Amino acid sequence: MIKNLLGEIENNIYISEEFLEKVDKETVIKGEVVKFVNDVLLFSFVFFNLVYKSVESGSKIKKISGGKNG
Amino acid sequence: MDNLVKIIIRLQNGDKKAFSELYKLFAKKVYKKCFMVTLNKSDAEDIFQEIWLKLYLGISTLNYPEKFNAWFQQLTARVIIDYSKKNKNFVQNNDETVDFKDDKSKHFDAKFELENILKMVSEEERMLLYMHYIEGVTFKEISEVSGKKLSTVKMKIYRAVEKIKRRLNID
Repeated sequence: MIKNLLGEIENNIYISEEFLEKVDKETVIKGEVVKFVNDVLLFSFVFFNLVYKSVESGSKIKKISGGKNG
Repeated sequence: MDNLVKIIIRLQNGDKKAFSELYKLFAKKVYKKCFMVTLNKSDAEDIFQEIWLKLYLGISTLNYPEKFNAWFQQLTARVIIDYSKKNKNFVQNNDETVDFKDDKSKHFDAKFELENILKMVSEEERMLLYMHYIEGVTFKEISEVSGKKLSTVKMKIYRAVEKIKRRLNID
């Protein structure tokens, strides 16, 4: 009964071919854009952390060495 | 090797034409599922696009291409559940009606009745009903795909069926 009910509705759902084609074409483009943005964000994150950490560790060394010298 | 597996491997290797082939194989089926859960065109389209984008971005993480069907079902269920959580009661608050074929057939009233019956159950219940009765997914598989306990899945489907039966006055 439930299967027939759902099947009846499923068979009568209208799907626009234009919409299907649009999603087919746009998904790859959108996917590539998202991948690119993710890559840039990852690179920025890694770069920022490397620079930040080196600056951080550098300043600590400076402070320590300054303390020893002083 | 299975044709579907070949398509998946090609897609994982960056063949963009493989995406189109995969899309043609599954698009209508996926759209219908989205529609059956949301019961309105705009939400169904949003979820549908999200599913394909997630597939495109995540296909490289699928280690066993032969398990694509289960992986894709899981992805679809997650997107639908997440969307449903973010847009609580989206069906009830949406003025759109079900976008049935505009054939003005003699079954028009019956279709409205079917729509009303389905609106009695939640979007999650509709998804479970669709998976079990239309896609033929077993309770155990639904449990694995949705991350819910087997007993919970059984109970939700049982309750949804009971609600519909009551509406239809079926014992």
